[in-house]
Order: sequence, then C-alpha cells, then structure tokens
Amino acid sequence: MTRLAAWTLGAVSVALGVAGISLAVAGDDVAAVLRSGHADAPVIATVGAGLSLILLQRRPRHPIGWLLLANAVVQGAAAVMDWYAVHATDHPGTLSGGDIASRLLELPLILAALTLVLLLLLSPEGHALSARWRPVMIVTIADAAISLAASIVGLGPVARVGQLVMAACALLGAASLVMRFRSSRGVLRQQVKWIAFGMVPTVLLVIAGHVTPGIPGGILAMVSPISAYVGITIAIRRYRLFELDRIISRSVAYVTLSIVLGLVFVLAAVLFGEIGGVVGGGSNLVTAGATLTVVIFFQPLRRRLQTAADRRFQRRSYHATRILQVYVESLRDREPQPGALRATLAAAIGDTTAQVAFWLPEHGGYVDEAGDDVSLSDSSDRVVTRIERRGEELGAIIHRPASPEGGSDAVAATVRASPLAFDHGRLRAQVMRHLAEARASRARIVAAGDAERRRLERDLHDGAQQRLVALRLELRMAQRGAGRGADPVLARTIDHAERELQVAVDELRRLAHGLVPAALTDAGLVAALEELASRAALHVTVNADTSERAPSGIEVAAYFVASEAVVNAVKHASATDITIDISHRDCLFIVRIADDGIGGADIDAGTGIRGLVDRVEAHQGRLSLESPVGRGTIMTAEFPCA
Amino acid sequence: MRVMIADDSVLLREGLVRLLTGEGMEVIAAVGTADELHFALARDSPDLVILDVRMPPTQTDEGVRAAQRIRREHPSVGVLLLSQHVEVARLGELFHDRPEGMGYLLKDRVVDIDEFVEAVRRVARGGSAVDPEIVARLLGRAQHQSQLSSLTSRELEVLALMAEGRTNQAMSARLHVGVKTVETHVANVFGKLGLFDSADDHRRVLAVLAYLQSTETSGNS
Repeated sequence: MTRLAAWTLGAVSVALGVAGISLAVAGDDVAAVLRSGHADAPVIATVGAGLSLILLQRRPRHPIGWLLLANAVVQGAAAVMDWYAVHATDHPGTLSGGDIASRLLELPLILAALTLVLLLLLSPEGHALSARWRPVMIVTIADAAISLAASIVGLGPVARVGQLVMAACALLGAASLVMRFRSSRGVLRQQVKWIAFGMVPTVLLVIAGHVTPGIPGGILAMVSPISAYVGITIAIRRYRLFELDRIISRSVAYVTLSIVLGLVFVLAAVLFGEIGGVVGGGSNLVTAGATLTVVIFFQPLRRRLQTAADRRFQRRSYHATRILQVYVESLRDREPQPGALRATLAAAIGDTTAQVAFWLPEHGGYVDEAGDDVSLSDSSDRVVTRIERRGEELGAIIHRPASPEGGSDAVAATVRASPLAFDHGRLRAQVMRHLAEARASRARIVAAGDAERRRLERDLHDGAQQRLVALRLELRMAQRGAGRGADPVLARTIDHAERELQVAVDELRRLAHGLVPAALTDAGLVAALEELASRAALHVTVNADTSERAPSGIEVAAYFVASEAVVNAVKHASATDITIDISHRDCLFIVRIADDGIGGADIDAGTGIRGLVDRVEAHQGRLSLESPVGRGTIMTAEFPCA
Repeated sequence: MRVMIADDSVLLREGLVRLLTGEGMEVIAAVGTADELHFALARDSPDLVILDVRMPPTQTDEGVRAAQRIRREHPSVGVLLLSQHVEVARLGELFHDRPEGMGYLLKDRVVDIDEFVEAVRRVARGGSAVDPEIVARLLGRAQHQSQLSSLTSRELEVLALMAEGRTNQAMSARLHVGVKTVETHVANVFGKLGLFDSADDHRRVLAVLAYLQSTETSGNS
C-alpha cells in the first residue's frame, strides 16, 4: 500500500517534471523559464522523485523519503505552473488564466520551502533532534498554512511576513543539523556528514546562480539541488559504501589548490606582463612564464594542501598514515623491539587486539613477528585485511571489524601506508623462523647423537661386557676345578687370562661410560654426577635441591658440562676441590661447577667447550664461564623449561 | 638350597647355574625376564632369587621393581640383585626397614667366586649383602663427618664390613683377629657414632646403612 502510494506520487512527480522540461524545450520559452528563477523545479521533480523512491524502496516508512517525494511533487507542480504562467504572459491570448497561474505559483513554492525546512529539521533520522525543536516544526507548518491562505486570498504583506518567518525557520533547521552533527557519533555522524557534503555544492551553486545573470545563472540554479539530494540519499542508504572523509579531503584540497593556483597564475601573468613590457617579449612570454610558475608551484602546494586537508577532514586515516611514517623513519635509526610493528599497526587502525601475519612463500604459510605459525581464520569478530605490494602478497592484519566512525578509513590508510614496514617485518620474521628452524635442527642432531650414544652404550653393556664377565666367571670356575694340585703353569695362564679380561672389561666400561653413562640414563643426573664424583681424582661434592629428572637431552648436556669442567679442573686448573650444584626452580634448570683452581680459563679456547656450548644451546640453554685469574673457575649451564 | 636366577644374558646365566650347582645348590629356574621369574615363583618357592637389575623389556630397572614385589609377596625368599654399576640412590628403597634376606652386589663380584658364594649363602639364610664398592662410596661421601674421622682405620674397616652385611665370625676370619676383638671394635664404632648396638646382625646392618645414608642427605642439604 505504502509502496503503491510512493510509486504513484513518484510517477506524478516525474510526469510533472518531464512535462515542465518538455514544455519549456518545445517552445521558445527555455530562456524565459531559466531566467524566471524557478528553473530548478523540473530537475528536482524528476531527480528528487527518483532518489526518494530509491530511499522508500529500502525504508518505506522513513519520513525523509516521503518529505523528498512531497518536495519533488510540489516542485513538479511548480514547474508546470511556471511554464504556464510564463507562456501565458509572453504570448497573451494563447492561454487563459495566466495571471491566476502566476498568483498560484506561490503555493507549490511555499510547500517546497516547508518540505525543505522539515528536511533540515528531521534529517537523517526522521525525527526532531530533541523535544525543544518540536515548536520550530509547528511554527514552520503553521507559517506555511497561513502563507498558503494569504497567497490564495491575495494578502501580499502577510505572505511576505510568512516568507521571512520561513527563512528564519530554515536557518533554525540548518542550526539543528549542525547541532545534530556535533552531538552525533558513529553511523549518524557519517550520515550527517554526507548530507552536509551534499549541501555545500548546492549552496555554492545557488549563490553562483544568483550572482551570474541570465541563462547561465538559471542553469546553475537548475543543477544546484542535485548534490544535496544525492547527499541525503547516500546518507540514509549507502553511507558505508564510500570513503566520505577521503572524498571530502580530496575535494577541499583540489578546490583550494585551484583557487591558489589561479591566483598564482594571475599574479605571475601580471608580473611577466610587466617584464614583457620592459623586455618586449609579448604575450607568449607572459603565458609561458605564468604557466611555468604554476607548474613549479603545483606539486609542493598540492602535497601541503592535501596533508592539511587530510589532517582536518580525514583525521583517522591521517593519524594512521603518520603513525606508520614515524615507525618507518624509526627503522633508519634502530632495530625495532619485538612486537613493535604489531603495536604500530594496532595503533594505526585503532584496534589494540590487532595481529600481524606475514606470508612466507617458501614456507607456504603465515607467521607472526616471532616466526611462529599463524592461521588466518576469518570469523565474525575477526577480519583479515591483506597487505600487498604490486599484487604480491606480503601478509595480513587480523583485526576487529572496523568501527563505522572512520575505522574503515583508518584501515584503508594503514593498508596504503604499510607495505614498506610490512616487508621489513616480514624479512625479520623470516630470519626468526630460519633461526628457529636451525635451532630445532641442531637440537634434533644433538638428540639423534645422544640416542646413538645410548644405543651403543647399551649394546656394549648388555652385549660385550656381559659376555666378558661370563667368560671371567668361566675361567675362575676352571681354575677352581683344576684344584690346588693342578699344573702350576696352567693355573698361572688362567690367572693371567682372567686379569687381562678384567682390564678389557674396565676399558670397555670406560668406553661405554664416555658415550653416555648408564647411570645417567637409568638413575638420572644426580646419580651419574655422584658416580663421576666417586671416580674423580680430586674431592668433588655434589649438591642438589631437586630429585626431579630433567628432560633427558638436558640431563646429558648438563652431565657433559660437569664432566668437562671436572676434567679441566684436574688437568689445567690444579684444583683440589670441586662443588657441583644442581638447582631446578622457577622453570630454570641450573648446573654450576665451581673449582678452587688457578682460574684464567677461556670459553673460546679449545673445541671441548665449543662442543658443550652447542649442546647447551641446542636446548635453548646458556653456558657461561667465570674464571678470574687466581680465584677459581665457575662454569654454569642454564636451561629454561621446555 | 634352592635358587632361581633371572638374567637376560644367557652366557652369564648359564655360568651362574653351573657355579651354584657346583657349590651344591639346586637351581630350580633360570629365566631371562622378570615376568618369567614371577611365573616360576608362583609355582615353586626357592630360598633365594638372584636377579639382574637391567632386563627386558625396557632394560632399565625391571630387576629392582621385581625385587620389591618379591619381597612384598614372598617375604621368606631371599633376594640378591646384581647391578651393572653403583647406584647408591636405590639402596634406601631396597633395604628400607628390612635388610633381612636382601643383597645388592655389582655384577663383577660374581668373579670373586668365594666372596660371591658366601654372599649368596648369607642372603639365602636371611642375612644381608651390600657390595663393598657401594659401601666405599657411602663412606667416601660421609668422610667429612667428624664422627667418622674419630674412628681408627681398623674401626673404619669394621664399619665397612658391617655395612656389607658380614657377621662377627666372618669379620674375624677376614681380619685375622679373634671374635672378641671384633666385638670390641664393633662396640667402639657404635659408641663413637652414637648408635645403639644390637645383638641382631640384621638390625646392625640397617643401623649402619641408615647412618651412612643420613650423612649423605645432610651433606646434600
């Protein structure tokens, strides 16, 4: 029903508007209509009707749509009546009632003014800003009614007062729109901005139309309302579709640029004209000089004006661009802190939860700043915004959906400004990932080596060693079997063989022990170090604040560190006493070996310690050596929890 | 005397069987795993079980766990564990508060046939046996204790032999002194260490081991 009414009214309005235009074009009255000052009516009737139908299509009950439609209809009526009155006046005798048409011409205009003021008061939400604005609406409607009556009856002075009151109401309406903008947030603010953005050209064109005499003025007036209507329509229907702030900013920048350059051209022309007068170069010199001057000023001026306009009209995206610029400049002076790029991008798009994901083609996946894997899952509360450079994907920002209040502008500006910073971050992430991979591969190599050592030790222990012990037992039994009266040579031979076997067993045990002590595998680091202590050539004390077992790789590394430290203390440091401390707390496993030797050891000396550093670092640990000359040596290996 | 042997090294197992058989003992089962040993124990009751610490499937401490289970389920059966290497940490949980019929020797000890057979008989009779090397380790760690330093070298020897689980007669034979002299040394050791002497040899081993182990823990604090 509502739709039908809307379409009918719209059709009437378009018909009136088309009729108004056609009639004007058909006759020789085009100039007259344009000159009449009501030239905008047919345009509003057609374009306004179309736009209002677009609105009503989506929001059938939105008062603004109906106001626009009403405005279009009365403007259509005005257009036809206008042509009628002009034609009747210019061609007396062809049409009757020309004077009545002229007089009634006021009626649609009053109604048009009424709808316009109401539009100002109600846009874009469709209700008054507050209860305080209701009286203004009542006054406007009452004034329109009185004016209508006065026009019909022919009370000129009353009608004139009505016009003044209507003008005052229009000013109040404009004030209401400004106040609405100031108090608005988010979507509403964007909508008001669109309306205002559409109004600006309208007002400028209306002024231009009044200043310019004759037909061009009429044409200017004719096109003037279009932008305001488009602004209102977009505000209500499609405000999300365009980056308004960017459009405003660009428009302001280019309008200002044109004005300034025009002035520069004029000034330069005058200047070169003077010079030309003196030198006698003629108008060519003037043109060339002025043009050159403008060309010289163009780029720097454009940049400055654009920056100024961005700062004023595109605050969010200007802000975002600046943040990234500052970050990129900071890269020149120092390495960024871990997570700095993420924080920068988060600040730029205004979402502290934003994450970065770098695309690593050779890895075939996304990683974060530390080089760890990241999955890009698009969900309702997370948006993935890709960053590209000439079509090549650099990565993405994962963030909350942009806020309507300039959020998408900020994201767009960030996307435009970030490729350089992003590429830098990606290279760093790539290095981090390679480093992590190298670490993991080193840890795997060490672990594989340890496993191999264990296997060898086990084979020696359970195979050869057991056999030799069994053999010794056999020989001993043979010796006993031979008895006391046996051949002394045979007894000596057996004895000798048994002793040789014992040496072989001991050598084998030492060999197996050097691989990975069995006690380390079976009973843990503390037990293995106690065994080490018992075999050492000097006094070794083992203190442990834990009996918990560390991961086997860490235990092996710690054991080799301690055993190397003990060997060094004996061989090079002339130590007499060694203390081994094992502590496991706060997620840190520490082995500290202190001797009372001569000190002066160097961590870079010898391949033994280098190998230990590799072993310790393979488990993300750290090996340090404190060895002041004459004050003993302390070797410390620290391993973080996995 | 009836014995069961569990060791996954066939050569050594067979050697032990022949050795013990030659000593007049009856080996009623010789197996390669703890499971087989438990199975044999369910059917027959020996005086003693000799078992290796490291056995399949994990080759870590199957023997220790089997020993604990046997002592729980068959309290009358003596248990002699053979270990590849010195492992002091396990000593406490093995001997616990009942050193009777418990032995813990290094595998190499089997080669000292007389010593080994003596230890086998002792444990089978309900005595204890601790490998001299393990005792030496315990003493070495307890060295810094002032009470120990007040002992004479002969008294230290007696202390070590007591820890190994030897009786006064055995000590007297070994040290080539009279039993009375040994008793005097034992009394002195207990007096100096502030321990209560016990006529019971088993209690004595426990007291000495506990003393040496306690010094170890205090040294580690």
